[in-house]
Amino acid sequence: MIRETKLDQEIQATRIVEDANEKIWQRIKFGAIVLMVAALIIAPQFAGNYLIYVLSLWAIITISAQGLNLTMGFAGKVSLAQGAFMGIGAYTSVLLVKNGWANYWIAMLIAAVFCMMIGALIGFPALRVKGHYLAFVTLAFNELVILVLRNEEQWTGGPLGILNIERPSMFGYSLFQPVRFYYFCLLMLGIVTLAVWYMIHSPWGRAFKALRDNPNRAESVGLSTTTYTLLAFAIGSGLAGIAGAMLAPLVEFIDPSSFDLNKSLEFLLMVMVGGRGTMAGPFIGAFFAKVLPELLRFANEYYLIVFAVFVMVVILFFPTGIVGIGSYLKDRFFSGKEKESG
Amino acid sequence: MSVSNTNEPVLEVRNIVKAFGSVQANRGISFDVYKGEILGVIGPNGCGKSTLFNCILGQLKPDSGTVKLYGQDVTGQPPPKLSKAGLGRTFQLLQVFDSMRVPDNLLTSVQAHVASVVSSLFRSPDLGMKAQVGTVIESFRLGHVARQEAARLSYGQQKLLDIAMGFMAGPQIVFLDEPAGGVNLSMLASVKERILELNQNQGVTFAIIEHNMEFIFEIAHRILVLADGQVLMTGTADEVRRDPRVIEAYLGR
Amino acid sequence: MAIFVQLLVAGIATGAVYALVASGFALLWQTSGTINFAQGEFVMVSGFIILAVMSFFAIGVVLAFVITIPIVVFIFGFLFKRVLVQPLIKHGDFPLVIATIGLAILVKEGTKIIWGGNALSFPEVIDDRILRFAGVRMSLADLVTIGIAAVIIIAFQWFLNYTFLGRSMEATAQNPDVARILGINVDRMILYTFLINATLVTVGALLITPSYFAKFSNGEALGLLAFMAAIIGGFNQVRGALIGGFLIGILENLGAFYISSEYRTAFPLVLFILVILFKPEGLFGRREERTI
Repeated sequence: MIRETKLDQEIQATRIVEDANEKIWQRIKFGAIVLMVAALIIAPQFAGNYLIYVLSLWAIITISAQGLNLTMGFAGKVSLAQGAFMGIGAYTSVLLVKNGWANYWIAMLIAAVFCMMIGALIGFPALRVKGHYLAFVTLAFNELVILVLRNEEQWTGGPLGILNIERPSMFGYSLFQPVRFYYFCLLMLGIVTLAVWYMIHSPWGRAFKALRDNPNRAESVGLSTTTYTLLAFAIGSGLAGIAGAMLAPLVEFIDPSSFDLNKSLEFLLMVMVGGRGTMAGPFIGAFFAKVLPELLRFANEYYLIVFAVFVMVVILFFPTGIVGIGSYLKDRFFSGKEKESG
Repeated sequence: MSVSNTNEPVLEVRNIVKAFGSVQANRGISFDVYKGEILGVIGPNGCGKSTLFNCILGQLKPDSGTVKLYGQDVTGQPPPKLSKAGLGRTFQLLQVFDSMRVPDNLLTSVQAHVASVVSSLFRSPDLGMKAQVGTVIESFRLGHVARQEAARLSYGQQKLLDIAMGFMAGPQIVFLDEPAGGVNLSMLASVKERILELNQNQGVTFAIIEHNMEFIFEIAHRILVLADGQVLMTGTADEVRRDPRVIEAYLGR
Repeated sequence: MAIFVQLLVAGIATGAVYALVASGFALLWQTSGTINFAQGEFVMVSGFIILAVMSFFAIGVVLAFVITIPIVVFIFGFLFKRVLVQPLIKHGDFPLVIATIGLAILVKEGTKIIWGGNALSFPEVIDDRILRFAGVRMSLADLVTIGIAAVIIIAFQWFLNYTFLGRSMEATAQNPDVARILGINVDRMILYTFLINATLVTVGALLITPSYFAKFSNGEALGLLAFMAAIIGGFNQVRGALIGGFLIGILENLGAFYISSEYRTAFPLVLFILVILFKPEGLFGRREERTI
């Protein structure tokens, strides 16, 4: 009896310390996010048009990376088709607007829904095959999409793509200027991030993680792996579609090579190296893939090599990605504290 | 152990046959499970026990045979459906959700039962079940590791978690596959307590595959003995212990 | 009819190169679980190395090829295995895949920087002459390619089936754990597969670069096709990859002519998707245990 009480006391003490540490960590995270958001909002004061363009691109790519992170990181389904879905989103919205069939906002919505539907279709093979095989099917799908985009010149403008894409207006407010379009990108990124965050922390997030960790067990407790697999693909590709619809007016032209297998592989690397299955991962991965190269423009020719070596080194030492480095540091730092007071 | 005194079969299994290539794992197995009983399932290694459970619970499709739950044919239905119909289970090889913490593991095990896919997006993360989850955690003595990811728990603790997950949705019939495997004595006592408590206080029916004879003989009302893919006999613990065929099946290999 | 045979021969010739590259790929995968996303780049860069050796020593292509083999074997066989594959393989498949993707980028960009972005011409191994036989026109180069590939394939099969080393390798490829128990030095066998793969990619480079010129971007398409060939054929068996290669070459050529030239790559792609969905072990592979 006496021993039990003492054990209980120890457990209580550990819990208090853990709680305190947890609170500090949450505050640090929150503070970092606030700082980052503030920096992004103030950026146009200090940055020239080119950097604003890069940051807009980063925001768009992060939206798509978050989609892939959901499918791969949280639901555990590999996809090498994220580039293709961005392409479908981009071309769909551009064609709708250019032909006068819809305004930009409706077009974006239609593009996203269209991508979701196709994404769900891709989800069906995912039910039959796992792991590598799924990666291959999605890879082949990406190639096919690019083939179609390249060949159906009548619709897609062929290998040269479509030029002179206009930037939209929002409630009569033109988004043509770089800074305005940048804030639009930030706004969309904010909305998407909040939506994803909400989803991950809802029962859906658990269902996805269950699907990733142990599909067998998930089924045995009543979760339909079919439903959640299709959902994961649909949402992941829907986000890519939105990103594609945003990319078109940013760059003001689109061509098939912007959405090819290389891009899909880039997204894969971004998610893996950033840290898959974490909220921060896509942001970090997109930063290393898109922002850093621009900041290091003097080394531009060599940047891809540096990036490639960087990827290999990170994976060699931190197979869980850069966020893994963060938790490694966190554990060392915080466990140290615990031992002192325990 | 008193024998359960109701006579309604909640589960009727008839002639389950399952083969893997040339290996005949189940060769026409039939038995009933009665309401409120604890049925032990024993037999030498490789006699088809886990396969049988998998055929009943949807992980495998039997080559032939039927399974009736409360009189309704549920043969070959997928696991999620059976889970929602009130069947819970654990697996022989430990299966928990490694990346999630203990409470999340438990919540995941019940969320499909309290909300549809669509509505579960809009419910609060703990589904209003914080208290229940807390109770389950305490009753399985997992309180002090509750904040950890399941992967970090010891084998015994994961085993307890696995079993807790099987109970979480309040199933009427629970299938346990070797719950005593690899578990130390004090945890085994916990497991036994939980099973008996659920059985006696809430009338939960159990079917338990076990190799640990002491354990299963202590708690089971009836024992089903399998050998070589077929039913050898059913009876009370004493009857089974003394039956020469059973002894031969275990020793005469 | 004549056209059909012509297409067939051309298809077999391209297919032969795919087959060689695909079987190297399959060998790595089967024996050590290495999915080498940089396989196409290995072939591409070998072509450039041959050119470099040619100009450095002022020799002909065949001699340069012979000298290139040990270079490629050392860098893309031995070093590849030791520096990249070995440390990562214990963390599971995925990190290694990421690393080979990174390597592919590295090799591709490196090639672009060293040799420039333009396509360089690559000398023919055999003078390109057209032969006429029963009304069918065939390229001599194609026939020679088929011949060389056939020799290599036969030699390789003989090696695998009739030599002790070869049988040990086959055993390691079928089941590394059992092989280890049998006393085979599995790690050494794995090293050999990397060396063999490096040789195969060099041969592939020799045979294919004349047609497509040496360009830094050639690796992608070839890598993808070799990869698909391995899977369509059934990478569980190395001969599956061989058959897959020929099949793709033929399919591509016939499809391009009879159906649509722009969509020539679509035919292998569609076959690839169908195989993965309905027979993931490949047309000629053994069935792997599929987890429930």
